[in-house]
Amino acid sequence: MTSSALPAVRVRGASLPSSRWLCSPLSVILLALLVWPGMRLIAESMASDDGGWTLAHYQDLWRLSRLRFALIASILLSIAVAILSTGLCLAPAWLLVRRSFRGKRVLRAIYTLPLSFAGVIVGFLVALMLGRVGFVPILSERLTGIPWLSGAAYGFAGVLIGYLYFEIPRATLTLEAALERVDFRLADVARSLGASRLQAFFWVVLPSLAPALLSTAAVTFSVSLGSFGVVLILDARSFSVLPLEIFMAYLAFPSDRPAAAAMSVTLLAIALLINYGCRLAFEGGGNRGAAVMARA
Amino acid sequence: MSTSLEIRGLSKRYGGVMALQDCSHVFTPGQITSIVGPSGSGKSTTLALIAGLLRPDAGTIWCEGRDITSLSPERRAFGVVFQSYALFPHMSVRQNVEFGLRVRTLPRAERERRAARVLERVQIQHLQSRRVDELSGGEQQRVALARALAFDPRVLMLDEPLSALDARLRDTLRNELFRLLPELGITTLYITHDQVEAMSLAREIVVMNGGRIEQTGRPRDVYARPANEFVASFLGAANLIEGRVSDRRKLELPCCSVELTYDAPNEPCWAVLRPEDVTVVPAGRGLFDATVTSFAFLGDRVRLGLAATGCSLVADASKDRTVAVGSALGVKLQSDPYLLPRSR
Amino acid sequence: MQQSWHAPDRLLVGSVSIGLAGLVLLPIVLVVLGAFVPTDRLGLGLEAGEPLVANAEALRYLWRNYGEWLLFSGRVALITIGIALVTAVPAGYVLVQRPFFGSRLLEELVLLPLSLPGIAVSIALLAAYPSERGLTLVVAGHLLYTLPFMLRVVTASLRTRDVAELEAAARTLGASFGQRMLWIVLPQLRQALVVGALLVFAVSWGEFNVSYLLNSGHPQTFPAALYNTYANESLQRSCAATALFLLGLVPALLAIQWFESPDRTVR
Repeated sequence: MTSSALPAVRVRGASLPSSRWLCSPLSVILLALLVWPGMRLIAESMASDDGGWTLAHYQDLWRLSRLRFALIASILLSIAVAILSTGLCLAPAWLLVRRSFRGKRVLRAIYTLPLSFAGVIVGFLVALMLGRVGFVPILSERLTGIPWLSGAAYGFAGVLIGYLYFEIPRATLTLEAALERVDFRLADVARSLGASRLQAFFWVVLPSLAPALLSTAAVTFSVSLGSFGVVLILDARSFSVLPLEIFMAYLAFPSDRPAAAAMSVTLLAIALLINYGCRLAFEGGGNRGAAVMARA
Repeated sequence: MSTSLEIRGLSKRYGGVMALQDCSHVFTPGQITSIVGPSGSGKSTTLALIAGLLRPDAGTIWCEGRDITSLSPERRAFGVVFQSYALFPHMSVRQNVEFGLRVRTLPRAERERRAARVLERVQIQHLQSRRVDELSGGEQQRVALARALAFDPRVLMLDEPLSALDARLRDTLRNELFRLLPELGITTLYITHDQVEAMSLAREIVVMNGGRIEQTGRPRDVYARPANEFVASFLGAANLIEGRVSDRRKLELPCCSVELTYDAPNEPCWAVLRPEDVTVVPAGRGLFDATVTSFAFLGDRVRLGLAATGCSLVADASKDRTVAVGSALGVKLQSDPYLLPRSR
Repeated sequence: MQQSWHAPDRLLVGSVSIGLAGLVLLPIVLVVLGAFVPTDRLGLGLEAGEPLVANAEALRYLWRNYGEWLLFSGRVALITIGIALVTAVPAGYVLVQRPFFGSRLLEELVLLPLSLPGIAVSIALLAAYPSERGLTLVVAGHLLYTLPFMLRVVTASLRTRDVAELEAAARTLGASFGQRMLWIVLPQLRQALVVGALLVFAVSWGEFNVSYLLNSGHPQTFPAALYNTYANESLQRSCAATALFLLGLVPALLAIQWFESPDRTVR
């Protein structure tokens, strides 16, 4: 729609009761639910038994091998999921953006399904498929006599697949939004200048996609970092992630709230670092809107 | 209705740029005034300020002797036809047109009567139940006009109403507007970048450039006696040739000397020559000789580019004329050039 | 005009896409089937010659024991939708039409929770309001994670439909603030609000990370019920519980797809 040359409606002063007050319910909620709890969290993470301040809980995070392992596992797992999901989901995102065909909406709906699945559900699904008596081993046993992948659910691979499962919708939709903004006519131009399909893809399309890929990876990273439902269900003895430790710490008896707080702050710091780090690295990529999956 | 409208010293800064600088003008009540200028000249800003959608940084706006500068747009009762029409997509044509009446809580019968009257005026009664997105560009424009007229506005403003249409539609609608608008008798502001529209429609034109009003006056006067180089070349094509006056009657141009029929100050000047005032004759028979550098057939006439010593100019000739590029022709001036002072 | 893929390898794109879709769909189908079938039949029980007897025993059991939790989830979702509408719609309007100095920051803050681990957020909320554990805190947690969606849908809609210009036109026609909101802005937002509400519902329905700790006692939100069944109940009952969960979720997601603009192919 061609916009009139009229500038945006912006009348200051007496002609309109200042409508900024319309923002106040939202602001109040954010202050009450985000800012204040954040402050309280940091305060609690440094609470010592005698009422003073201490960094012991943060130090525990590194000293205790259980927690250290969980932290590292969380980070590595999230990185792996981020890279895998971003890479893999480029394909369906591409399909949805570049081709129209019947049943496209159905396909899109399928990808969107796991969007709301809590981690616990995904854990269950993974166990269903790859557990000791899961679908895949039983099927393969019927067909080939060998139960393939029996019990795979309970190892690193199973957990990884679980995380991948619920990152698929997020990655696909975010990439879809980003792909919609790519000007593919530039690739047409490259092809007319003699580039092959592969060259056009790597030299023209991919660079313009790079910020979106990065921000998709960042978002999937943060979400994976915070999810523990999968591991909760799969109950992998050898495998723990930090959110799970937080969960356990809080539910322990007596509740180790400072420890939980310290671990929470650590997680939050990592998530914020990755997200804003990526944004700063690609300033002006304009993909924040794409990074939020507001258009499920 | 013939409402008086005046702007005094209007200024508006827009994102670091002075979109409007100290503009003042008294608009003729009941007449059509056209504000014309290139994009970025401040015409749309002027409209927004007069409509009340923007607040000026300085200056005042007066209507019927009252200062309305701080009056909200809802209370000004000025009808605006936006460049993109801004029709309400979720409403039918009739609902769009009735909107201004509905807002004023007129009883339904009255609303329908007045809406019907204005729909007929603009000749779109047959479209009244249609949805807005089913209409063509020309039809949408008429709906926008009807909507702005329905509540009997004190002032009517049109922001580049024809610029979104293709050439042929533009001509048709222009003729309709030219028939309709004068009949209404409302003080009308017609914003456009097309000087042909401006000059043919308006009783008075206001030429703007870079946020300032360069010149105002009747189209004929502004065309014949432009105030500066910008106005001269903006309204129609103009040849601007550096020259100098001596002895109060002798105009020295690089290519020739002209005897003026009136007294002019002895100073450097620009000679403004309109292509239609420059005629070509066989070589040797005119004031001076020139070589043809370009030739363009414009349908109703032929436009020649000419080069002579020290100056190049453009001349119009009859459409039957065929001239070879590179040939020599004589140049005659039909009337005295109009002179503008030159500072450099 | 021929549509060019510009993908290096069409086959690769197609097969990966279909593969992922299958990967997503298969477990869901199995779960739904499993809800009606006694446990050890999972796999291919047909050959063994024993008839598959579908039964709704698991479903009945679940309804008796966890029905209340279903309703609780529903209640939380509805409250969250209500609050989200009331807060995000006016705020969205202001952010788009009359941005002010802190408006970008506000938008960023709203989006922030999406990048934050849910468990950390719940610990923070508990640190701040330990006495509010229960419905209040659960709704609070859900709000944090659903407001971004509602806000984003509203602002996107306002921006694409150029509501600013329609409002300007309405003002010149004499419409007051209330009239403009009621007759111009809100009707434009109709579709966005429906999609927004559905999104909020979908997110709230499946929310577990934040909800579990924030609640106290029973009933919990339904995903927590799922956790219970997975840990303690038979496979059939677990499948049934999951199927019930899907019953609430899938229609919402399909409706969202339906309302969104039909085909967004880019040429």
